[in-house]
Amino acid sequence: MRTSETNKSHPTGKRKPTKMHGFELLAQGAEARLYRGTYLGRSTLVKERFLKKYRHPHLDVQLTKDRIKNEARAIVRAKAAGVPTPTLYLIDFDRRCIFMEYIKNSTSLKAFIDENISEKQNIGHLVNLVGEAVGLLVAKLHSKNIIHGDLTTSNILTKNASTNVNVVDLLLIDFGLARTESTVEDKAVDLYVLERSLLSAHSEVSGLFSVILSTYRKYCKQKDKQEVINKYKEVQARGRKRLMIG
Amino acid sequence: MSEYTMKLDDTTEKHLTLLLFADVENARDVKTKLINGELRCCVLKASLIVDPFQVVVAANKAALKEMHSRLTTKTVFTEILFDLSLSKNITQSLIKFGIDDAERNILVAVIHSLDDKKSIVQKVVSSIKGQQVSIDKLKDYTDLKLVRKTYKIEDTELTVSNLVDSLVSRISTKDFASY
Repeated sequence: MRTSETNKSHPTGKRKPTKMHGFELLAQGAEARLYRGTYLGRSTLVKERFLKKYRHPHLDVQLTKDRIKNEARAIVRAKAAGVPTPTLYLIDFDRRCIFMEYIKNSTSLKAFIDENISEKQNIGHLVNLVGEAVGLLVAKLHSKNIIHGDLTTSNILTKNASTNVNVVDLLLIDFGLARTESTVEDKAVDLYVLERSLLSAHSEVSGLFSVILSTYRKYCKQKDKQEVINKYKEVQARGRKRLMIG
Repeated sequence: MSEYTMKLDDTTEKHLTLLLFADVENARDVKTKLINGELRCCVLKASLIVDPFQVVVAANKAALKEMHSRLTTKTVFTEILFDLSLSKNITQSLIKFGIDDAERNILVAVIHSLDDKKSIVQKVVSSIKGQQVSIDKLKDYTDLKLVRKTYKIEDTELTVSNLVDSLVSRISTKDFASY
């Protein structure tokens, strides 16, 4: 469910025949399937939040509808905030699908880092470049009170990426866990999730998160930015979940 | 090819054809014919349309709602006007995107099945006293300032997205998102 390029393993064995005529199954996660095809003359990615048979049907319909709304809303809000996101073509509650732009010529930031930064020499400039771009992205989101909820390098795409550039074009995807209203705590946790994902996915690239954080600090327009940073340190000390004492 | 045709969602089995007319002299008559059902199409102010795709996304949505008998307005054609608008007020949407009596430049949207395109297009062309212009010229009639105001699009957004993509993303989500 992460990106269009880095597929998780295809469902093997009992793979259901696709009901999307002319669409090819790209990936499947716990919540949704991704298909690729042409829709309204454009290259399109379909995210289908499939039926969960273990849920009561009414509950399942309502939950799915709410989550699709949430995701689509966050994508347009992020776009309005100046964060590149896929274009939305159709939100279809009957088919439980979001039809959106398929991003051509893109790789996940994870693949980009693995290929160009990890275990390479003289990468300081590239680390700065990537860190600044990511920090700016998150700052723009948080300035408009949008929480992505799952900030990882697999959910950030790089477009037309190469190593000898001075700008990295980033695009944010998978707003499945996003929220469009937020507290200081939410923002701090969003940053913390990103830090943890960098630690686990790119442990060999040191210094990336500190560039992200200092850029974030620089570009965040909100008044409570110092509060967010303080909260972030608090979250870092205790972990993502709140202490429930007393 | 002066007109534009796009296949809508497979399940609707419909197509959308767009025709652009300039210097129209009988907008008032056209409007009367639309209201009394003589002319079965959707007539738009060309000034509010940036690209055919903007209408495609709205018409696709309208055609799907018609198929599921879930139209908010009376016909699939008024539904296109309603879906193009970000407002949830039907009257305001129809006034905003529909034509005025003195409208000069108009865009006609026809929803049809594969085989009845010719007869419908012919009827439209014969009802409109104006000059048919190639759809490629649509941009010449767009009022970009008005479009951006109508869809509330700020400069920051256009640094990362082209205008059409921003418009269609809003049109797709108007039922539950606000700006």
